[in-house]
Parts: sequence; C-alpha cells; structure tokens
Amino acid sequence: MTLELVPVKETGPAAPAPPGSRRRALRRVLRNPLAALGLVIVVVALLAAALANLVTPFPYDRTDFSAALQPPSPAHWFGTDELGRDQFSRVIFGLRASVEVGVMSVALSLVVGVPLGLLAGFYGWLDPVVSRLTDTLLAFPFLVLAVGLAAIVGPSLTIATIAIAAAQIPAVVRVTRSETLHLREMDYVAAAIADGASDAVLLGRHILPNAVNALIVQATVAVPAAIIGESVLSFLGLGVRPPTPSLGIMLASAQPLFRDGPWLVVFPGVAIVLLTLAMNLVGDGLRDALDPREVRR
Amino acid sequence: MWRYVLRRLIESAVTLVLVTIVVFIGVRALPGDPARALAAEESDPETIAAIRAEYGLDQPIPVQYVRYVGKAVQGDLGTSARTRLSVTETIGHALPVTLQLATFAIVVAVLIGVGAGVVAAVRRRTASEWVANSVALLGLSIPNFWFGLMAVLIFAVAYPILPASGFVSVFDNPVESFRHLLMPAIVLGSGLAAVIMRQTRSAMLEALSADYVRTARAKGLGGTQVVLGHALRNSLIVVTTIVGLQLGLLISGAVVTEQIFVLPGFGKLTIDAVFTRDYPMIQGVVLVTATAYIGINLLVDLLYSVIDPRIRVGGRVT
Amino acid sequence: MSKLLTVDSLTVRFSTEDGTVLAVDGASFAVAEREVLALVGESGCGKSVTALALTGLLPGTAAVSGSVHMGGQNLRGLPEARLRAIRGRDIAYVFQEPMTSLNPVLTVGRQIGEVLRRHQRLSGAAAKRRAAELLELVGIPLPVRRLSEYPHQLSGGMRQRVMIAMAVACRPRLLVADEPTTALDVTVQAGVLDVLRTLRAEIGTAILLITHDLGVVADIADRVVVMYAGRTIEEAHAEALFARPSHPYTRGLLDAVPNPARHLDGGLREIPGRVPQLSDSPDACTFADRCARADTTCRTRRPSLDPGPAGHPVRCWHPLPVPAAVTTA
Repeated sequence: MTLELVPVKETGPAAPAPPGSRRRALRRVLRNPLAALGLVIVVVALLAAALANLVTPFPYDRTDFSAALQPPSPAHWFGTDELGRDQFSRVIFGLRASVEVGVMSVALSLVVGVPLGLLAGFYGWLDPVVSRLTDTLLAFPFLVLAVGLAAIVGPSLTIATIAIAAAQIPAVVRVTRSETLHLREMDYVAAAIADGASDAVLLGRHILPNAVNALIVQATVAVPAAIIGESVLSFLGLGVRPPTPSLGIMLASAQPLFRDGPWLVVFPGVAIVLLTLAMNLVGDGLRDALDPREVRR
Repeated sequence: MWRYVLRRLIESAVTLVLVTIVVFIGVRALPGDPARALAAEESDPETIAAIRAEYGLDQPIPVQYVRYVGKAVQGDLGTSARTRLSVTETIGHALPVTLQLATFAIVVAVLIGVGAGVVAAVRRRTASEWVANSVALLGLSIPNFWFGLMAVLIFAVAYPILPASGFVSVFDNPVESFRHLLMPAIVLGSGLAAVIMRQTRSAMLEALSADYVRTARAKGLGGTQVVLGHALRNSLIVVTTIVGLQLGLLISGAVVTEQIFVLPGFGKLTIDAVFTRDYPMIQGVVLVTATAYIGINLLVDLLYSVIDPRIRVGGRVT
Repeated sequence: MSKLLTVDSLTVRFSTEDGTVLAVDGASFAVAEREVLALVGESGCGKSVTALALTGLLPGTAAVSGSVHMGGQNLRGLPEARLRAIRGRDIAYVFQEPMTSLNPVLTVGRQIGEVLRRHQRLSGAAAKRRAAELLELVGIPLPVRRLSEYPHQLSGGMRQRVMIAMAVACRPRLLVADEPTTALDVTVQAGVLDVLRTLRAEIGTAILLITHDLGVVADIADRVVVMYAGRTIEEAHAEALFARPSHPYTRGLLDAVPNPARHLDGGLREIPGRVPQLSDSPDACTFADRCARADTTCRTRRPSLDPGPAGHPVRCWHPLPVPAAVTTA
C-alpha cells in the first residue's frame, strides 16, 4: 500500500489564510471540471452507501442457488457469485464498509497525530522523543501491524481502522510538526506572545487554524489510501468479518473463481477504483485551490 | 557533515532498538503459549516445561531480550516454531525473491515515474501532460491486488502470454525470470511510479520557474540543457527523499503481490508467520524488515546530503 | 555616439487568470555604445518586463509587439536558436536576487564555465583559467578557490559579483542589470557599482540599468528614462533630470527621497494614490488621477513624448517649468 506523503514543499508552508479564503477556495474547486466530477461521484457513492437499504434490490446476504454464478443481466446488474448473492447489492454495502473505515481511520490519525505534531514542533525538547516514536511506528511494516493486531484481538472493522490509522499517524505528525515549526516563527505569534498569550492559546488559536490547510491536503490524500488499505486488509482476511460484505473480501473470494466468473473480480475492483479516483480528483482540486500562491490573492 | 552522519546513525540505532523491544513484547501479547507451539502436538506438561526451559522462556523478559539480541547479532535468529528450520535460513531463501521483485519494481517505477514527470512538467497544457497526469492518478487509485488480479485475468487467462504465477531467479534463467516477474513488478511498482511521477512533476515545475533557470536561459543555454542540467538536478533532491520513504512501504506492499502471483517471498513468509503464531519467525521477520527500512532511510538521508551540497558543505538549507 | 540598441514601440501584454494585463505600453528608447542608461520607476511600472522582452525571455503568456534593433537586425523577429546565440554573448543579464539566481547545486566554476563553453567553446583547464580571471576582474579575492565553492558559501555581495562575472564572460556589448543592488546592503552596493563602472571602462560594454533607487542613478547613470504604468514618460541626461525634472511624476519621485534637511518641516512626501494596473492603453495620461496639475485634456487625450521646457522629451500636457535659478550654466 503506497501512502503518498505530500511533502510540505509541494504545497508550500500555509500562509495565514485571509478571511473568506476557504470559501473562495471551495468555489475554485467547483469551477474545476475534473474536481467537480469527482465531487459528484463521491457524493453519489456516499449517498448510495448511506441509503444502502433503500437502494439495493436484494439484501446482501440473500442466497439463491438457482441463480449462482450468473454473468451480469437485467435481473442482476453485476451478476451473482457462487452462492447466488446479488453482486450489485453487495458492492453497495461494501462501499459502506470502505467509506466507514476510510474516514474513521483518517479521523483517528488526525486526533492522535495533530496534538503530537503540535507539541513536537512547539517544544523543542519534545521533538526528538516524538520523532523517535513516529520513526518506530513507521518502521513497522503496515501489514505486520495489522496482522498482529488482528491476531491478538481478532479481525474486525475496528482493527482495520486502528491499523490503518496507526499507519497514517506518522505522516500526520510530520506535516503538523513541519507546519508548527514554520508558523511559530511568524510575526503574529511573536505579537501574541508579547501580549502574554499562554501556550495553549498560541497553539489553539494561532498555530492550529493556520496549519489546517496543509492538514486538509494531507487528509484528501490519506482517505483514498485508507480505502485501498481497508480493501487490502479485507482481501487478506484481516478486516471486516463475513457475511458483512467488504469490497476486499469480495475480491478475495473472487480470486479462486476468476476463470469461471470474471465479473466477480471486475465490479468490486472498479468500485474501489472509481471511489478512490473521485476522491483523488477532489483532493487534487482542493490542493490546487488551497495553493498558497492562490490564497494570497 | 560528519556530525550529521553520526547523529543519523545514533537516531537509527535508537529507532531499531525501540522496534525490537516493541516486537518482543508485542509477540508475547499474542494469545497462545509459545512453548506449546514449539512442542509437538499432544505433548505432556513435562515436555512442554522442558522446552520452556530449553528456550529460556521461563526467564524474565528483559533477560530473554538480551539473549535474543546477543544471538541475533551473531546471525542466529532462532528456530521457526512451525517448520523447525532456522529462521535465518528460511528468511535467507525468501528474501532474494522479494529483493529481485522489489528491485525490478523500483527500476520500472523510476523509469516511468521520472520520465512521465519530466514530460508532464515540460509539456504543459498539451495532450501529453494530460495523459501523464491521468495515468498517475490511475496508478494511485488502483489497489495493487486488483491490478494484479486484472493483469492475470488479461495476460495469463484471456490472452496467455505471461505466466500467472511462480518464480524464477534472474541468476538461473534471465529470460524466464523476466517473464515471471514482469507483471508482478509492474503491479508492485505502479503505485510507486504514480507517486514518483507526481513528485517529479511538481519539483520540476518549481525548478523551471526558479530564478536560476531564468539566469540559465539568459546565458543562452538551450532548452534540453536547461531542463536536464539545471531543473532536473534540483528536482532529484526532493524525488530521492520521497522515493526513499516509499521504498519501505514497498516492502510491505510486496506481500499482496506475492500472494496473487504465488511468489515464495518474504511477504508471504511474514503473513504465514503471524497467522501461525510462529513467534521466532515473527521476530526475525520484523527485525529484518525494520532494519531494511531504517537502513534505507539512513542511506537516503546520506545520499541526500551528497546530492545537495548545501548540507554537505555546511551552511543552512534555506 | 552611435546607437547600440534601439527599442521602438515595445508593447507587452500578459494573459492571466483575471484577464489581460498591459505591462509595457509603447516604450521607445535607445542605448548608445558604452553609455549607462538607467530605466527608472516604481515597482510594477514595466521596467523589468521591458528588459526581459529584449531577448525574448518572457514566458509564453506574454504577447509582445514592437521592435528591438541591434547591429542592424530586429531581435524581435529572430528564431529562438539565433536569440540563444545572442543571449549571454552580445546581451547579458544580471538579476536582482543573487541567491536564487544562481543554481544552488552547481559550483561557481561550473556556472561560469557554462557560458564560456556555450559561446566560446572553452572547456577544461582553459575555461577554469578564464573563469578565475573573470572573478578577479570583478574583485573577488582568492578567485581560484571560489571556483569550486557553491553559491550558498558566498556572501550576497560576492554572489552578485559572480553574476556579473558570468554576464561579462563573453564581453557583451550590452549588460542589462535588473536591480543589481536592491537586495544588497548599502555598504555592499557601492562595491558592486564600482565593479560595473570598471567593466564599462575596461570592456567597453553599455549598461541598461533597471532600478527604482535614485541614489544609484545619481551615482552611475549617464542618461535616464523614467517609466510609469508601462509608458516612458521622461528622458534626460542624469544631471538634467535631477536639476530640471519636467514630469510631475519625476518631481514626485525626487521629492519622495527621504532628505532630513528638507523634510524636517512636514515629514515624508508621498505621491498620493497607487500605480494603476491596466488591461488596455487608455487615451489619456495614466498619471492624471494622482497629479495635482491634471485637467480635462489630461484625462481625455494621451500625451505623446515631445521635447519639454527643459529641453528633453517628456510625456505630459503640463510639464513643470524650469526653476528660474537654474537656467544659468
């Protein structure tokens, strides 16, 4: 699983965002046709996942052996698997698991990583400690981490979330720390200190809000990676437990059958690709819009 | 510069130690009694106790740790609980497979990634840029294993030109090796290629709009010379760092690829070890992986200092 | 003195996200052999763009019209390959920021060597020797050692001298210096100006000096062209400009220079308003909004560059009269 670490250099250190710039940025994103398309796809996917019960023609675990291993047809848009389960319904429900894990893991990594990064960047003596910890975490092969956790507690959605979050934390810490290091040299911080602001206020009101831009960019890259990560874990049997469908599990069970039922491999994969592609497009659009060179206008 | 090297060495050593400690403790958190796992099925309590004593499992943990480290430094990583073979030997057989795969993947990724990145940066607002960007985007969005499955579906089943599985060492039969490793390498390297391409493009764009490029043009230098000699040289610094970071992830990414293409490599070894609670193997595998990862990072940092004279010859990197 | 470079009706338009920006509006001037011509104006008046336009160094978003004549040919019509032969050899540049204008990962020697290799086919030991000579010419101590050093190891002033050395490597006929001293400390500035003066004497190169610093102009310039909002608005010999400015804007610039003696009474004099950013060339005087002497003519008809009361060209409907006390030589 490749986690694209967006170096701060690419986006530039976030200049203090003038008021209203984020709204302007959003408008700029929507003007970009590719990003807009991505946004539409993401929204559709999210709605479908949220309203899965209403949107799907069949319950995801409904078996029908008389219609086993059928190629796509008007009755079953994505075909059926060896147990006669409708693939379209399973893909929609699978999307739900993917999105859940994707978003939750990134959120978790932010909750843990941002404070660590802030502290590491702000308090020089804390920096080496935090850096060694994140290096250690980083040195752990992601899958060993996941497999280990799964072995101790038993595989589940939660385990997958935690494992992916753990893999993302070092990147979040690094970005936050980098931003903090840069932002604390800013004049308005010095002014706030001269006014007698406490460390908490400095971090909370002056530094953190201005680091948010870089974090948003990091998140837009992290969520698609997390979604792929979840599918990898499920593929290896470490994530969601059957019968709850997950796109990864579906691909895993499709693997031995791919000669007989190639559609079983195609559709779940395409779903993953579309979702992550759409998110990457939105992320790219956001990144361009939040580019400090644009923000300064 | 030597101060920098020394500092990095110490940092790496500390990290390595921390990793081994975490693994050591973590492995013992796994359910299941290691002594029982080492013993044959249905051994009586006395045999198990004997095994426990023999492997020093009844000693306090810090002592066990020290013994382990002591032996590890000499190359003895213990015995696999599952196969009774030497961990070092087993790893020694699996590692070359993954190394060949990874090397091939890296070469593919760098060639495609840097090439596409330079093209995208130089030919702005043309069809080439759009194509390159789209390919990179796809590379990032397609999960390795699905790419692998589809590749097998197309090139091994539908139009059988490449083998679907199996490994042949490049030292035994280069042509067959190439055939067997081509798909896995492309699958494994695709994500890395996408990242490299984007970073190269971004770094090149920044370099091309830099003042020193304007100076170069003002001196009358031609397009190619400016692009390669000036802009690319500066971009390589960033690219190297990024690639270095990603290499570590490549190692774990190989796991899935090895699953799909049935390559008896290090990744497969890792998964099997954890699933079968083979704790000496787990320790050995993590130790090797972490060492490799930390080592690569260290190398990249040192390489970085060679490429960027600002670090090498003192002075601050502005 | 014969004219080395003649610029005629140079116009540059940029297409940007917000529409077209008119950066240079029909600028015309000439540089004579061996003379130092200063192009003066506030930031954003188009002087740097003019300089880059001479040899086609502007980005693709720029639309350029007008002519630039040198040595009997119009540089504007030449293909890129011919322009590359001219850049660095006949017309050379020195830019404002020596830190970012030099490639940080290449040694000084290599960067100077590039120019020598490109235009004079020097390489190896010959190039090194010549490079060291050049460094010595611009007053850098221990030149041979400097060759293997990197830009970040040198001070700002030295870096700028290296830039100058690179520029004069092939004895160019015209040296275009874009704010060469702006990024440097005042004490270092004098040194760099000295170098430029020496070079003009020894190599015989003409200098097109772009600056907003009137002190530098007074120090080294022979003639001055003042620009405002993309137009050239006054042209004179240096002492004439300082003694008998004709355009209200020039007067404003001179007044704005902090002078404790003059400003003890009221503080610094500013020119009210801001430089306009134009998308088209209005048929009016672009300075009218900020000018105390403006009337309807100024706002409705574009003035042309004609001889004014002080005897030199000025683009103004109501140029300043000559101060009575100065008419005597």
